[in-house]
Amino acid sequence: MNNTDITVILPIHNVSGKFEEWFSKAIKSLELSQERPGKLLVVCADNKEVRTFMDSWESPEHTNTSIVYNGGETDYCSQINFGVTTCDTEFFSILEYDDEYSNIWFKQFNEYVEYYDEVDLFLPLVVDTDENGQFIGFTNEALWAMGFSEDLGFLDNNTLLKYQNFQISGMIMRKSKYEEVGGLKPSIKLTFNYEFLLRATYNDCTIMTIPKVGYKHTNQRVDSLFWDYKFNESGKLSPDEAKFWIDLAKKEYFFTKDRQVEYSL
Amino acid sequence: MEKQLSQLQSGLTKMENKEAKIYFLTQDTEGRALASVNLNYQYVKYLNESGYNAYILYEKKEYKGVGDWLPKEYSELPHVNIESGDLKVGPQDYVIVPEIYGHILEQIKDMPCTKMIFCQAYDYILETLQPGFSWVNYGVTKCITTTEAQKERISSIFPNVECTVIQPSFPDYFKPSKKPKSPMVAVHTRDHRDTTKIIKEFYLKNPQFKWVTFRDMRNMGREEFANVLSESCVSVWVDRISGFGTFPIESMLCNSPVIGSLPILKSDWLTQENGLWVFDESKIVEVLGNYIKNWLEGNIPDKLHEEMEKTVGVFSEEKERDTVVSYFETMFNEKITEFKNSINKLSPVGVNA
Repeated sequence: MNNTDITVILPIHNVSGKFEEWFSKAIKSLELSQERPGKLLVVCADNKEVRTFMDSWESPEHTNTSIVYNGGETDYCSQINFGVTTCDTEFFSILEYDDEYSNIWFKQFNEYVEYYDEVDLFLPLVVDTDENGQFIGFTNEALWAMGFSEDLGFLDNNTLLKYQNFQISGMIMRKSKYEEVGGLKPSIKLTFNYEFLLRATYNDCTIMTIPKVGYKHTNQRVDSLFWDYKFNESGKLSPDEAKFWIDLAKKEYFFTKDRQVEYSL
Repeated sequence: MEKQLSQLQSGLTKMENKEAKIYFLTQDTEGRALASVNLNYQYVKYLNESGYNAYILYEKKEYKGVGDWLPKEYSELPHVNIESGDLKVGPQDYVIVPEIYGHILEQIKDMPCTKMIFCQAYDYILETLQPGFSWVNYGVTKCITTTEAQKERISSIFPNVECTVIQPSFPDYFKPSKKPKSPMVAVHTRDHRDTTKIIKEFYLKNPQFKWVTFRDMRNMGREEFANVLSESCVSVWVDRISGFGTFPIESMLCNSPVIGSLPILKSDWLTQENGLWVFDESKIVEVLGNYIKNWLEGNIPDKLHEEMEKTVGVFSEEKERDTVVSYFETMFNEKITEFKNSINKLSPVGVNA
């Protein structure tokens, strides 16, 4: 059933390592969905390896799939911004190639958006797993803890200023609101999703977590960017650096545009 | 004899005109919601709406009433206070006493009226009776109860008491909400300590669900109670000595599945499929943890909801109203016949009632 007016944006930066294995699982999760999204938009970095891979890839049978190549910046934020510009549905969602949707996510979204039609951004209850699929914990769930935020289930700016750990992959957002808020900022390296949520709530974007498992996120994958930030000796961030990025997000969210702030670590 | 005859004739006229009084002795809950008291008010409401003279009878002048937890129309029903000396009964009248007020029977045994028991909680039947004493010793020969299982139990203890089952109904604010359910657990236990134990044990055994909210369903108005139930994704019920099991039915009406310990006396409505029932209370937290996991993953079987719908489908206000009114109509008719027979016996030959 393809009754959901959503484009799933799947950014691909490179296809090395275990990419194919992860990517197949991500696509499989879409195929197994009880209610499928309207479109899948694969946003690819425009290079030979990616093109070769995509040329031989068979798109899923029951999902309207488009492949677009981004000749510009291909960091995560730029790819998503490019994808949102390209899509033409009321809502969009983000699927990372090493993650999976749960089979009920789009069905649940349909149920919740019907009742909560004022909500602009629905966060999934994210199950974080290790590379072997072992449960680590939930993300985005705290909004349902009594007294955590101003309204049970909803994210507000004050709560975000005290608590940073929210995950935007898997989220379903109104394209118009994303454009109004200004999209992800590529210059905010570590905390781009945090800065985005701060800016969204500051700009009256209504955000809620659907209290159903919607997305499986592979945490601490060895070749991921965040693994490097945390464990790789050369790329590892010190606590001061991490604090710097959080503070930067708190300063920059007042500005809709990515200001390319000059900073020194 | 003439005085007796005149009393009987006056009583007969009152019976025929439905002026005879029906008093429902009611516990003072001091503002706390209680299903059994709610049912007393419900009966008084039905009977008054059908032209009968029914009253809520209460003991102390300081009676708090139900204004805090029942709609206004219930507070406005006729009330009579014993302490103020407002209670005056004649042979045509009825006093209906809850089973827990067994000790009151001693005080009212000489009153010239019909005495009945309204038994909603079989476990309290013997609580206030003297050893060796039966309801019959106090002139009680009729009893109303809410389930066949309770009727069977009552009949085994008091074989000479005629017991009638009247199935309760539930207000229409017990209904599913259009709002999607929240990760919230509604807990209702007879002993408050059980609620605390369940919550603490749940968080210890399921730290990954520490963000799931529990609501203790004590001390809230009926409509708020219904709202919380309709918002909750599951209800937990522990009441081993339950007579009917109002809470699980209210939960099911609000589309909230019930995890409960099996009561000693199994209610008529309870089946293997319409809830998650455990015999061993210590398993409740384990079942709840599994339920929450499955609810979050969208794995609650449709069959459970189908069975819940089937279960609650039999409770209707119209049916309850008809049964209550027709029960008292039959009682009135029986007493009218009795009065007529007595009058005929006392009247001079040739003058019949």
